[in-house]
Amino acid sequence: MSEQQREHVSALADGELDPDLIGPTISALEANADLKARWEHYGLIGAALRGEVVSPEYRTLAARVREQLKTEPVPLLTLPKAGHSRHHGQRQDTRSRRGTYAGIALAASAAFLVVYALPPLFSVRPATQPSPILAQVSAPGTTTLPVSPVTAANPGEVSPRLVRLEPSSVKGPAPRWHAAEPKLQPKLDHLLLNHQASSPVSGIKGFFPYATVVGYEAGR
Amino acid sequence: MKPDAESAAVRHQRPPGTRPLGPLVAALVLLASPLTASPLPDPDLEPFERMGQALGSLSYQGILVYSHQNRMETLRIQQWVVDGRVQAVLESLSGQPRLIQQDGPQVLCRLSGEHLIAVAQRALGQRTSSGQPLKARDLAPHYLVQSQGQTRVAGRQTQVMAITPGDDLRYGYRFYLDTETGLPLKMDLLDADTAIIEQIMFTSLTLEPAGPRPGTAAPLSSPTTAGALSAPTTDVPSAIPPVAAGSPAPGSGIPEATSNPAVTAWTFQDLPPGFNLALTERIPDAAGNPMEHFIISDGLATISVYVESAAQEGLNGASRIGAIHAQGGKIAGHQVTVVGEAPARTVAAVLSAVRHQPESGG
Repeated sequence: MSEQQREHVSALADGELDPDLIGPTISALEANADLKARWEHYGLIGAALRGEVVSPEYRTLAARVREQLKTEPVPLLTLPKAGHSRHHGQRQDTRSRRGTYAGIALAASAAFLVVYALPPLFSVRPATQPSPILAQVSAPGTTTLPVSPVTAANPGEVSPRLVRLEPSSVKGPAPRWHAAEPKLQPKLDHLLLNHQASSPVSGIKGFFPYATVVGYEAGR
Repeated sequence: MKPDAESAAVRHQRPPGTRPLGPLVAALVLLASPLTASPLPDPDLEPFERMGQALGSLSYQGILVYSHQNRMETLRIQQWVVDGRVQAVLESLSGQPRLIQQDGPQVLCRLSGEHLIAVAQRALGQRTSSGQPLKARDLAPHYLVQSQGQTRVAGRQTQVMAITPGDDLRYGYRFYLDTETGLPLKMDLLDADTAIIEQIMFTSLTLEPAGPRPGTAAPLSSPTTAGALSAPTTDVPSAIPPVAAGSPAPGSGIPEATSNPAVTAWTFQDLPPGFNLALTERIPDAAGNPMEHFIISDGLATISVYVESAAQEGLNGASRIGAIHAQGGKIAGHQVTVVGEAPARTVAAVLSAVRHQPESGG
């Protein structure tokens, strides 16, 4: 695991990785257990800061899917048609088997993507129903990362229970404006809205400029 | 037998040579529908002019996705145009309830909690600061306008028009314009390297018939609420108070602007290339205190400069919300705040260009 790979994984977790590097990085994640552990580590930190509920079970889902696919009966081989040579039948058999393996690999990759790569891109709201608590993270700055359940060193000891991570945003959503003084937020909102209402070219874009005002929510 | 299998079986039993009736029935239904859709913009117009006309004349509703910084927010937009008057509601469907509504010249916005912002829509509709409709050639030399072919968005065919900035002082845009109506179904905000900064995209769109919204005589000007206008599933915590149509309601906080005041003590020197003063007005701030407002524009990008008494609390330094940047500070005993959809360095350059000349006025 090179430093560059670590940086790429970190950037992927932050959603800042160059699109050209996403594919190779995900491939590297699949092939390298240490990288995968690092990815999980980043994911957990992110989840902790976002106050999400994380099920440690999910960690092993990709592996379980992969195993399940391996043990599934594969009735996909087509029998050689009557009159075909034995050699032709063998070739077809090999091709079909190759296709099956490719299918397994694709399915495993898809499972990997679903479990590891996609969740950070679609952040989950904190659960409303409290779950059994295995680890708590109170707030940024005083963060104590989960201890036992989700470390790469003991994947077999994963507890099926959910990890309840206390929302870091218990004080409410983060300021919409990245200003040092949150009390300026309403004023800046007012100035922005007035700007868009009076901007000559706003009309060209219709209501679209307002999508930034309404749609933007920081700190989630 | 499952319904799908059943219908498949029926299809198989159809005698050879006969045709399914589905398409015919669909065509008849379409023909029987009243042709009450809003009149479409002239297809011979330039794409951006047609887009502006579509946005200001068509009634529609749909779901938008707003993507920024790897985050995604879902919004619902509803717009009705009645006798040329735009009535629109845009509300967030994810995260904290946020809502903005427009009724003609009035814009009301609730972004967090009970805080309500009211401003007057003073933009010139589909026109630029010069009073002319936006045309591709007007954007030169600071932007390159290109057609980039066609693609589908929200299940509809679109023409892709890109406005690429000539430098890193302004953003670019890529509009995906519905070929039938001219409406922008998707908009990419681009940096100078044409990397996407933000995206807004319709995931569904329904064109509505012309005229008032069914069942609502005057959606926003009557004593109704945003929650009532919206679908019942919308979680809007409290209603936005009714606003009388036409002019800003007394006490509503909507500023009554005085455009182009003859005397101002403020000028701009060494603005970023291509940017010029486009509008000057005097407006009250949220607390009713007088404030001068200047708009700096290069024909597409716009930046506002607000000047108010130094007694007012204001931004000191830089801030931003998405791709919109703000910068503020004290100049000649006044609080000056610059806000605009432009890169941070451009906003900072506009602030640096502000000069106070007391002998000129104010």
